[in-house]
This record gives sequence, C-alpha cells and structure tokens, in this order.
Amino acid sequence: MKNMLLRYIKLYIHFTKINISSFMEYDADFLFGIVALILKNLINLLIIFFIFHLIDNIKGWDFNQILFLYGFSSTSFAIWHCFFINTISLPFYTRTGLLDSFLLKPVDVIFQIMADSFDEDGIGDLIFGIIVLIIAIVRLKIVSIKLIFLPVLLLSGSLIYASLGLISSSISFFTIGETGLSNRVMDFFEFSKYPITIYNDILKIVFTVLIPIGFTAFYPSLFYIANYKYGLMLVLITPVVSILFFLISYKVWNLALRHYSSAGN
Amino acid sequence: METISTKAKLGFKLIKIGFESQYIYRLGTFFSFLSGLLYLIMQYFLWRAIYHSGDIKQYSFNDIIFYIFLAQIISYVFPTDVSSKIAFHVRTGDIIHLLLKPVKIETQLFYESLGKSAYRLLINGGFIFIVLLVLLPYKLELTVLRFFQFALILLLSYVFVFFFELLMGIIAFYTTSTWGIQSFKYVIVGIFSGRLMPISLYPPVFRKIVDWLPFRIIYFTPIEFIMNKANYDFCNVVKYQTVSIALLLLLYVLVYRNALKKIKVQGG
Repeated sequence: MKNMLLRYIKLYIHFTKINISSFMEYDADFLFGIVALILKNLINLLIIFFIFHLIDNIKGWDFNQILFLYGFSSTSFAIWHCFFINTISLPFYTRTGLLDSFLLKPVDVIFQIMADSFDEDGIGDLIFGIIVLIIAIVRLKIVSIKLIFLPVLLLSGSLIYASLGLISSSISFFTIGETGLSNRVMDFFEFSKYPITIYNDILKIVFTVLIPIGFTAFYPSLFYIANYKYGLMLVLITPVVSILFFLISYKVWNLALRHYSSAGN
Repeated sequence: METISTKAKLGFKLIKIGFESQYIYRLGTFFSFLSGLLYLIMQYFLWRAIYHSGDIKQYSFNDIIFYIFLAQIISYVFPTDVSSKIAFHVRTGDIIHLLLKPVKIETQLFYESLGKSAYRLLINGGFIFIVLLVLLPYKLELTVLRFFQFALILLLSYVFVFFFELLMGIIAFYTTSTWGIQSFKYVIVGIFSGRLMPISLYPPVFRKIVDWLPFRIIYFTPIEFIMNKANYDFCNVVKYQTVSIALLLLLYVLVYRNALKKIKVQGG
C-alpha cells in the first residue's frame, strides 16, 4: 500500500514536470491569457464591492469576511482548475480514443486522466485567489498558527470539485461526446462564493449532503471567520467529507466505465 | 430585382441552417438553459439576502429580480460564439476558405447567428420567462408602442453585439490565446454593459466611467427602457445606438484590414 502510494506520487511529479515544460513554450499569448483571466476574476470581485456600496453586510457577514470566503472559494476552485480540470474532459478522451491508451496502462485510469494535464489557464485564477485570500487574512488580522490548516482545507475543497467533475464525466459515458454537463462544475463554483446561509433550507441541505459544495469554502472558512468557535471539528470534517465524496464519485466513475465501448475498432 | 430575391433566399437559408444547428445540439442548448437557471437561483437568493440587510433606493427587490431575469433571457438572444468561431478558423487556417467564398464571411455569420438566436429565444428564453411568471408577480406597464420600441432598441443592440463579436474574433490574428479573448470579452461585457447588475446601482465613480462608453446599450439601456425606470427618449436612444454601431463598424474595418495583411496560411 505504502509502496503504491509512493509510486503514484513519483509518477505525478514526473507527469507535472512534463506538463509544465510543455506550456513554457507559450510566450506573449500565455501572458495575455493569464492577464485576461485575472481581470475576469477582478470583475466578479468588483460586483461584490458594488454590492457592499449599497449595504454593509450579507446575512451578518461583513465585507472582509465575504472577501475571505471569496478568496477561499476562488483558490480551491483554481487548484482544481490547474491540476484536476481533466476530471471534466472525459468526453474529449473518449472521442479522440485517448482513453483506450490509458486503459491499457498498468496505472489507475482516473489517476492518469488527472495527471495528464496541468492547465495553464488556471494560473490566472490561482494567482488571483491567493492574493485575495492574503488580503482578507491581513484585513481580518487572522494571524495564527491555525493558518497551517489552510492548505489542507483548500486541497479538500478542490477535491470536491474533482469529484463533481468525475460524476458529471460518468454521465457523459451515456450521452457520448456531450460536454455540456461538465461545465456545471463551474456553475456550482458560483454558489460557493457566498455564505450557504443565504439559501433556503432545501438548498442548504443539498449543498451540505448531496452536492457538498458547502465544504469547498463555506464550512472551512467558518473555522477562521467565527473565531474558531467551532473548534477543530470543522477542520477535521472538511477533509473527511471531501475524501468520502471522492471515493463515492470514484465508484460511480468505475461503474460507468463498464458501459464504455471504444470509438475505434 | 433578381439579386434582391436571391439575397433574401440566401439569408433565409442561412437563418434556417443556424436554427437547425441549434436543434441538432439541443442537449447542449438544454444544458445552457440549466446553467442559466442555476445562475438565476443563485442570484435570487443573493439579492434576497441583500434586501434583508437594507432597502435600495432606486430598485425594489422585485425590480432587481425582473432586471436579472430579463438580462438572462436577452443573453440567450445575443450571438456569443461568433468570436470563438472566427478564432477557431484563424487558428486552423480554414479562414482562407471562408474568405474565398462568394458570400462575405460577416454576412454568413450574421444570418446563422440570427437563426441560432431565434431558437434560443424560443426555447431557453421561453422557459426562463415561464419561471419568471410563476416566481414573480411583476406588473409591467407596457403599451404596444413601447414594446415595439423596445424590440427595435434590442435589435440595434443585437447588431452592436454582433460587430463586437466580430472584432473580438479577429483579435485571433494577433494572439492564439482563445481563453484570453473570451475572458477579455467577459470583462468588457460583464462590467460595462450592466449584464450582472443595473448600472444605476454602481458607485458614482464607476457610473461615470460606464457612461462614457457605449457598452451599456447592450443590456442596461434596453432593460431600463422597458422597465420605464428612467425617462429615456426613444429617439435619443436609437440615435446613440446608431452612432455607436457606426463607430464600432469603422473600428472593425480598420482592424480587419490590418489583420488581413498579417494572414499567412500554410500551403496557401
């Protein structure tokens, strides 16, 4: 078990090295793309500024707290965008027949898909998310040893997006080549930018249990926002939920894979 | 005389192609409807929470929900894939085939997007409209004349968006970053057109900047016109739109000429 894990980590580092060197060949275009993506994120943030020009809190959350939540959700989404976005590219892999080559290799298929690409478009998102998060941390004066949990919580959040991606990809085994559903992962990201408390009870339950996007930002942020009132509970629950959800989506994916028949001969 | 009838026939055929292409990808159209619906649900709860914290002078809660729903319906009507289509053809080199055709590339794209828009307005717009009717008892004081004036304003906005899409598309001659172009487009439309919230609710400084630019005629002006929010003079709006379209067209022609000089097609 330990050996296998080590092997996968080594493989992942190797894959990522190749991927990063492949995008280094871009130059001005690459920069233009990143700047445009950062601007796009800024526009969305600007709308929040505008809203706080009209009122002073959203369901008891003041501007700095919303900024923290926004930075948190943007960063965990960006980690997914950079490293795991391939979880939604399954229609591409089936259409081009690349999936067949993955199936033939002695390494887990999902692992291969996830490691196959480092999406440089996500870098703009990532830079933006981290900057917003740092600004919010400074403004809220959250200077505490408890910040060491932050990377784990952010990663857990991105794993939930990866799981959502896998589930929507599983459905695309049946709708062959249709990418429309995969983009819904992006739609759910929109829901995670604001406190879950703004939604009605049904949606609160959905976002906590069924489609746990509450754990991509809201619940882990609560740990820092509410002066650690909830203790370490929230910090522990978030990774557990995200790993559980990932295992479920992994099962769903493998079940759906049985329905796969190659487009080739 | 004959040329006019052939032109009309051609236009009609292209509109039909656009309409049918949307029908073939109806699953995709359905997903884009679903996406819009999720966005509207999120917006509904967000603004409900905002009005929970305090009232906003110029807009009631019902006003804002109506505004956001109408913006969503209108967004289905406007062409959105013209820029990415051109960018794609530039990247693959296919652009040369389109340039050699007897029908101008702009004409072809325009009629095709008209067909697509018609389909999306009927299906997606229709569904969202039903959701709006069920959800919100909104009373709109609307005369027949005002409705037709609104339709004309929207048509001019459509033409404006179309030329804007063309302009964004030929940027592909200068950069290969498709994501970059699309994000750049999102930035301009997102902030200057009133797509995300009414411009009248922006802080004064931003309001001033937006007033200097023509992009507010895409969403903000038509919606406020039909909501009877400010006392818009119909003739003035149309005049402003026409001038904006003319300037945008001029800019497009200039960039297009410059871009054609740069064109290099492998094996061409």
